[in-house]
Amino acid sequence: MKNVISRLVDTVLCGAMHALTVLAVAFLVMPLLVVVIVSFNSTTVIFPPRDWSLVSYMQIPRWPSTRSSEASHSASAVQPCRRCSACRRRSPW
Amino acid sequence: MSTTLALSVVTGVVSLLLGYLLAFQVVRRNAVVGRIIFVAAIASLFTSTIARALGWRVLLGFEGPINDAMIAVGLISQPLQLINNFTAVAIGMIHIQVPVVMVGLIPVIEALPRDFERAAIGLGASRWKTFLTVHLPMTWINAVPVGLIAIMATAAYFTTPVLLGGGRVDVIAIQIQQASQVLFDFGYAAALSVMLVVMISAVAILILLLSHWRRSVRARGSS
Repeated sequence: MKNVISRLVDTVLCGAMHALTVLAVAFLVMPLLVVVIVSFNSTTVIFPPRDWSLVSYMQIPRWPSTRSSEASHSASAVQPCRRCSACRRRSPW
Repeated sequence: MSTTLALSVVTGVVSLLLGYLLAFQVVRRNAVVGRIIFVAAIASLFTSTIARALGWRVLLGFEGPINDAMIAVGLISQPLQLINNFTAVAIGMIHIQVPVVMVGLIPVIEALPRDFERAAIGLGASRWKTFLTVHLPMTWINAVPVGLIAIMATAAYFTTPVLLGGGRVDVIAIQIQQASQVLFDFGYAAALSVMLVVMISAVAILILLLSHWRRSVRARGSS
């Protein structure tokens, strides 16, 4: 009987240790995965001071032209509408 | 000062426990699992501290995956404040220190001859009992200094408390920065710096004393 209990305790403790190992590895890897995911998809998080997308990092900022009507819309709008080309061209900075 | 000390001790102890567990699994488990754990730890170790802290900011945020998961499971009804507090800073610091402690403990566990383990199992000891009676007594003396090094390293952290504490966790490094660059009170900044050096030196002396004691125990055992 004592032997059975000892074996049971051993199995439970070893199982707990393995589970803790899996959790520890997840703990180490999770923030790295999040950084990678966020860097590819800027819509998942809005974090100052920059737009977190690789595309925005690769783009050279272009300021809207003063001649087009879209430019005035782009300059006056508080939120980019994402429909007109001026808003699409707007720099993430 | 007390916040810094508490953070350092919590980080050191938890990092030592998790680092020991991971190092043990790397050395004693099969090669594939060991390599997966090792690669995960090394990838984390060589990633920028700032990137990791920002990852934790996303994870622990109000609309982060952890709060979302807890709401989805039904544990909570409203998102919890997981960021900008002591726990968040401690999590960030533990995440930095666990791979360091693990890498430090791998040679300690590897140096232990497997014959002892085989002998214990051969004599009828369970795996857990083998760990408690063979591994732990033979490795703790080398493992504790690694934990103390983690405490020393954590005492002067600045980036993680700034990014995960949101100015609410007042560690000594932030106080020094505020005193020297915001208040221009260089005397106060110098006094805080001396306190930090004294604190870290005390831990270093503790490591030296432990090392000296270990050597004397070994000398007594061999004579």
